[in-house]
Amino acid sequence: MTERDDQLLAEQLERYAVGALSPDSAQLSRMRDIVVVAYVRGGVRTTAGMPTSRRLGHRWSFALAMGVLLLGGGVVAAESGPGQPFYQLRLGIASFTLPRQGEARERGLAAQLDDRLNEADAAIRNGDGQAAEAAIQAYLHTLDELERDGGLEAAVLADLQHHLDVLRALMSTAPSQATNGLQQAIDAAKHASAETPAGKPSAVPHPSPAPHASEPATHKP
Amino acid sequence: MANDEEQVDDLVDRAREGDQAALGALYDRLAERLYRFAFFRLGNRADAEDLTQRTFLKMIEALPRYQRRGIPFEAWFFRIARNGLVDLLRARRSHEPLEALHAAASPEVGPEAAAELASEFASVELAMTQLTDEQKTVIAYRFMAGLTPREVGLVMGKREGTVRGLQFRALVSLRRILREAEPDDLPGRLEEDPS
Repeated sequence: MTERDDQLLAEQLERYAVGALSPDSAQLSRMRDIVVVAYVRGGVRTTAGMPTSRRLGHRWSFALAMGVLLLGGGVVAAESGPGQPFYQLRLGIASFTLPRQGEARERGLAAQLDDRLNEADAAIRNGDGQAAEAAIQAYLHTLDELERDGGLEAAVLADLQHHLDVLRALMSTAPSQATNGLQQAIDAAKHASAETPAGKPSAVPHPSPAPHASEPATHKP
Repeated sequence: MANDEEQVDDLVDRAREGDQAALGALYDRLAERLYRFAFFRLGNRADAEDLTQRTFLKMIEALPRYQRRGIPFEAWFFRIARNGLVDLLRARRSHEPLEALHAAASPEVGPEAAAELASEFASVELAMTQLTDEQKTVIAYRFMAGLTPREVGLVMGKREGTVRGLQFRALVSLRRILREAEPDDLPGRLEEDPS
């Protein structure tokens, strides 16, 4: 067998591989979407890089919300996911437990945005367009509250940029029922994240003002 | 090659830092090759897609723990694929026949050329069934996945020389089988003078 014969046979095998075994463009694109969503979602879900203050904040507000729910007999509401009857009640209670103003409120709202995004993501993975739409509408509502409160911290703006990536990635796999809402969320997050960081000292990653001096200023999820 | 590996390493480093574009570039570089390898080994598109996705998801999960230690990234990646393949084959009772031939007729070529290609692919596919499993595996990694003999050795846990030997014997067998199968067509194709 000559080197040239080897070369010709190798070319024939490569022709076979490309011509007979390649994925079609729809398959490639579908797989790509899934891979990219998984990659982006990994960034949202992990709490490894989240500063202690935020994790504690999460737990604190969650514990308080649970306490209020238990006192009020609202256990059912606590179990309600997006699209379920008591979902709005659960959101209302979570909102009620937030501080009235200041950085803590801003961070609480930002944490709620993360939660809504994770709910939308889970619903889209389950192919549940109605639940996804409910979570996205809740996301929009919370984002509106966040913007209404005034200038945003740099860390929150960075979070919103990250949300934009996630929302765009979700768009490619979302059921049609949720795509309008997702587009609205993308537009809203784009608008909000384009804001100049608040003209307040806390917008600078280091250092934090006195009441929160021990807390890191950034809180990437 | 070293330069190519450096480019891949750069993409890997950036993907580990959260660069979505780098992850996309890694996907574009590896997805088709992995799919072809998977389709060849598994024999149907659904399983090939499944293995491709699973491998990428596992890669994303394992990326923070990836350490070069002399193993090129692509060999590491195809090791993940190989483990997934073993799991899938274990879970499956029997191999299903390949679907590839019917998918071969590309809309970009005319009907005559498509028929010719389909015939060529059928011959290759038939010839491949007569190789030993190890030979088939080496051919799949070399020509479907596009790995170097060194990378194939790292994936299969064999020395590079052994891989080259397996490949040599596989090619000799394939040529013989193809000659016997279609004496007036394929061997002529292999021997024709381009000048």
